[in-house]
Amino acid sequence: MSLEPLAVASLMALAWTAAAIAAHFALFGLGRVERRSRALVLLFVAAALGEAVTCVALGVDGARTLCGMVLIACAFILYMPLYYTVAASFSARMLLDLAGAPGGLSREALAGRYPAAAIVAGRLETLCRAGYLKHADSAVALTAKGVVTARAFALVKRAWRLGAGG
Amino acid sequence: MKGLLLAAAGSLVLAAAITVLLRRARTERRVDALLRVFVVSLPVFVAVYLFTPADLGMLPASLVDGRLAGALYGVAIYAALFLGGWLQLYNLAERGFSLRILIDIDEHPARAMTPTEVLRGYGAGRGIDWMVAKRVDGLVSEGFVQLHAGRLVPTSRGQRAASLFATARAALRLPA
Repeated sequence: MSLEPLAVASLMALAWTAAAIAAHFALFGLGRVERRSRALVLLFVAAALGEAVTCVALGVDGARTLCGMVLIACAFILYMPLYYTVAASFSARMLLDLAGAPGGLSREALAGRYPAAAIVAGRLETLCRAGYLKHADSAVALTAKGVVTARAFALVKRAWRLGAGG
Repeated sequence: MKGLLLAAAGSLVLAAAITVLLRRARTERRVDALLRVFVVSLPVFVAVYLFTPADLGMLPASLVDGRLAGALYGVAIYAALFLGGWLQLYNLAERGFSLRILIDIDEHPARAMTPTEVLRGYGAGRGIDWMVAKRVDGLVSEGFVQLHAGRLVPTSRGQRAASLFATARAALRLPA
């Protein structure tokens, strides 16, 4: 029994997605990665290229190969937020703090582990490194990339009436 | 190809429904409301897939897929566009710490802020302490943490999530 082209492309996409996630754990677990976001993007780009090459080798037509690549792109948009929840979410870190403290922590003790000045300084530095902010004397200002991002999300917040948020 | 086209079109309809919901409804648990809209829309998506022509009246025969493979593919793309697209866009816009800082700086008259100004002005003037308190309240309301004798203690659900996070962080060698 032979599978139809869309099924082949989809199965290959699942396999390449699994390979990208396995490579993510192997690369980050074994080596020191400086630009983690870029590395993760490159792994999924490599998976999409692998999908294209495999589909061509298996005789899958161009349209179904594209469908497979779209499936990998969808896996990427699902995986990235998961990764960032584990890597950068305050809520996740608070949960880890509470789980690691026998008997839990008071609200004040938990909040005390997140000194506001250090949180802000750390995040501003991260945003500078990522190219969203630049140092301007003792202040920070938006780069062009930062302006586009800030205004795009301000638009979304207005459209969905989300209020200040954060 | 029909699955991809219907998923893209369905996702746009879903975005319109989400926009109407968020603009009109006054609900506290907005993520739950968005998820409900998505779950209700899934059988509608499947029905539309099953009851429309295989070629949508416009696709060439070479682009017509089998019914099962096409439907499964369409559902996968439709779900990913909601869970990884619209829902994540909502989460980022509503809770994103970095994004809120960028918006605060963009809305500041000088278009630049010192770290102290960011600290005090975060979230349109609410400050960072408010952000920390909001996260704690979120963990409690979502059932990950409970208040026990004045102390915040993880529930069994919270313990499971913490264990998963700890394992993933160790495997990925994420800095503490």
